[in-house]
Amino acid sequence: MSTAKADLRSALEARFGDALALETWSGPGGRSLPLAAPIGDEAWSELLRFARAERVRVLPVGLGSKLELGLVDQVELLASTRSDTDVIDYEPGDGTLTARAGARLGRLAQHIRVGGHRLTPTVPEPERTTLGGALAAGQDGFDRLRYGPIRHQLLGLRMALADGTIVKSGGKLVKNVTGYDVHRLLAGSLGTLAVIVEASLRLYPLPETHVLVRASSGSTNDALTTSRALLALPIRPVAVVARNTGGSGWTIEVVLEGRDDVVTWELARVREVLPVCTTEGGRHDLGAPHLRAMSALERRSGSWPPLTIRTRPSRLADALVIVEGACLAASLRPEIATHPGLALAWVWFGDELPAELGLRLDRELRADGHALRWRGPQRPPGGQDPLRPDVPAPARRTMFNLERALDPDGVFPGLRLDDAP
Amino acid sequence: MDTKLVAALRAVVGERGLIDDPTRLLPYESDGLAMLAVRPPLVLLPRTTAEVARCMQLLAEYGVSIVARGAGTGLAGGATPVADGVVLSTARMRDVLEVNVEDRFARVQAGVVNVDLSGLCQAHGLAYAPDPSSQMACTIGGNVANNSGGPHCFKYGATTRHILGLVIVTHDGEILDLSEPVVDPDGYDLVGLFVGSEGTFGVATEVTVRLVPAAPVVEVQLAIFADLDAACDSVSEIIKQRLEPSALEILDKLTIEAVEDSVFAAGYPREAEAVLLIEVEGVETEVNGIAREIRTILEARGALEIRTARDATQRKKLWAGRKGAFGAMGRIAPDLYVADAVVPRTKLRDLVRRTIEICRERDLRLANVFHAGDGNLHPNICYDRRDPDEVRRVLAAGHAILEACVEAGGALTGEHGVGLEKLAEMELLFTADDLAAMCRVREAWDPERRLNPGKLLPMHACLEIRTAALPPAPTSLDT
Repeated sequence: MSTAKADLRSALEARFGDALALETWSGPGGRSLPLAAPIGDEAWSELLRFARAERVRVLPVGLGSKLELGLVDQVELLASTRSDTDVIDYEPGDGTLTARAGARLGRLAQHIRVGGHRLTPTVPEPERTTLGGALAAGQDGFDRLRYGPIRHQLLGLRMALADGTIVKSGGKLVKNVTGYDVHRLLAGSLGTLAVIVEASLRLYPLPETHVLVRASSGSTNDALTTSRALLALPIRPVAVVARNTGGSGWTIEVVLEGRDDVVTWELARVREVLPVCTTEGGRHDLGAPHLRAMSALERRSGSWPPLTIRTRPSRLADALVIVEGACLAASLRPEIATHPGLALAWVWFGDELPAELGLRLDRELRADGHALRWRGPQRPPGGQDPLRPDVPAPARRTMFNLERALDPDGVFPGLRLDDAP
Repeated sequence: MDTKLVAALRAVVGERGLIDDPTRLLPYESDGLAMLAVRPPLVLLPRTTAEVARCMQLLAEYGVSIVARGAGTGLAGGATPVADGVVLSTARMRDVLEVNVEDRFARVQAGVVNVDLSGLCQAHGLAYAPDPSSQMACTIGGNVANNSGGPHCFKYGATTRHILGLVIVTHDGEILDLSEPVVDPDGYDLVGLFVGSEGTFGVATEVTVRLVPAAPVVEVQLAIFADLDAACDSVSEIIKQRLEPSALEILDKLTIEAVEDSVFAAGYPREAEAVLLIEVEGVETEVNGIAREIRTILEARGALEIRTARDATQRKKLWAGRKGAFGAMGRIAPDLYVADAVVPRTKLRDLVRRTIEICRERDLRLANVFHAGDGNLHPNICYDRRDPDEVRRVLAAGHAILEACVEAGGALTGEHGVGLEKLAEMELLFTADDLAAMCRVREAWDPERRLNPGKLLPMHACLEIRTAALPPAPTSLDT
């Protein structure tokens, strides 16, 4: 072990002085790690060159709200973009925004509002979500149905490679096919390939108005059937969500936004499917309590859903039958929220998920062809590993090659791409 | 080419799937960039993924380079053969494997023609959004390789936003099946990275595409201008006002004349200096509202006349002129150099003017027809390739145009790709470190660089990268 690794904090202080604003991160089980917060390309380069030379493994993070996937267990140092927050360029006439990776999405949304733009994703805690963190995690917002995933909003980025080199991919233009889309590779890569230090996003017009429509539904089947009817309408909803509400059945929520006249027209169509419903709305403001509640859907009581299911829209009902059947047999009533149009479901099990139930769900859902992601401590032992892509071996091999190509010395933690337990 | 290899390949693809007769090789000498032509020794036309994989295995054993080709409509030399390399064409891979109306996707072989897929979707009230001007001939696999665009990408985005999955054959003949259409990739986004890789990562043999609901109401406006600047400014203003039409296309006077003299005649007024085609789609209320606001902008910017078409036949006619513009230019000169660059949409007028100046300085005839809404310029230089001096001036103009666009914050290509054409200009936009990183990504897919060698990345950029070999993958990965 190198001297620096043995007393990393002292080595960092000796090498960088106060420039890294060193703090200590404390995690579960009493684990603590030094956390550095470089500002600017040069500081990122220096830190990564140091880490490579001293064989210190680094996990790039934003504010550290998505560390439950387990990558933190592989590293000795956290490097946060939290202090690197500048807006580099907002061009209202072009509908694009470039900012440093530590900029909070909430602040960016406010910044571009004056120019009549909105950005996506609309995430659960925009003031606590960094641009780089959202990109690295491939984070969705509740508005994905209309605007698409975050990787589709990414026009280009600057990244710090493991050897400290700063490189760019893409640009600031809404259309551009020059060179490889390495930026697409970085989106969702969880900080295992490079550090995103700056990114450019496509923006959308700030809607004149919005409305949230809410209706009750009886069974899971009713809720999904109604959702399908809503999705078949000639409208462009921001979200169609169906979620169970404990003992009182299901709730369906539809969010519409856009021009006043169009939202009015779309609302009339929605009412044809949901004749008994309530509405809330007005001028588009993400601070409105009902929209905040919608955007917070994925994060209940400060926790991400322990189980995410991805499947085809036509197969969502099958997946939920498996979940509800297995939970019923175990006398457990899970909370479920779904985006039927995206064929995405989140499941919360309460305080405790018996390991055998978790394993049964894992086994049955995968056997039925659905993709799963477990997060946090409720992942059953032996359940699908969120860091081991559930893809054919040749695809894992290509991923392995990409990891080694961009980070040959293993400065960053990696996905589990071999078949070792 | 080794006779044993040729015999083995013939055994895989059959007589109809292999061309080595020099006269039949002629059409494969170039893609749409005809000034760069190389006669390939062999063309393969496999029918299935398994045949592609077997061919690639054999070619790997013999160390032969491979240039994948769709319909050969590319305009940047991406499908130009390489000396001693094989052309692998997907032209016989034309099966539609699945159209899933409920889940809104289709799975097709790579050689399916873009317009055929669009036609098939129409019957189900769905649409495949990317619509390159060459859509009558270009293939979905070619669209994937180039991340192709088209007029409607202004609203719907380029090809990459519409690809849900792929089956890829790698450099050594291994099959990567990433075809399941789930909303997010598990692990790294290999599909997203592959789209636009111009045949340098592998050969896509099957493509899963996203389908979108067809718009209930579509209106096309044709705005006629006495001034090209005013047409450009109208587009910038529409963007600035955050209006959302589905397409914004400009044609200049020379293009209008060529179109009106051709079978694509669309009734564009010959006296106009420019026309702006605008398509608005959605529900009735939406179309009415957006079209009204756009009309106000057009009038304020001095449009001489605004024609409107909602009837499908009339719309098709207005679009026919735009879609047929490149073909119509054959009336001006025997050859056409279609440049492709992107600029910030706030600088549209300045850069269009600059392209005109650049061509005027070199005594070249320029016809501008472009995806104005995306800032994607297509300065089309009409020339005769039999005149070496004119060819030299054309290439110099192309370079100067790209330089000007990059200087203004733009990029080298919006939809045609880099291919061979823009290799030198890559260094205008990217640093040596940027290019080295791309080379490393390329080598992760194709360590021997046998797939479309010499395209997309300047060769010396790749030669400069670290020479140490990648560590071998763990053996347990083979399971």
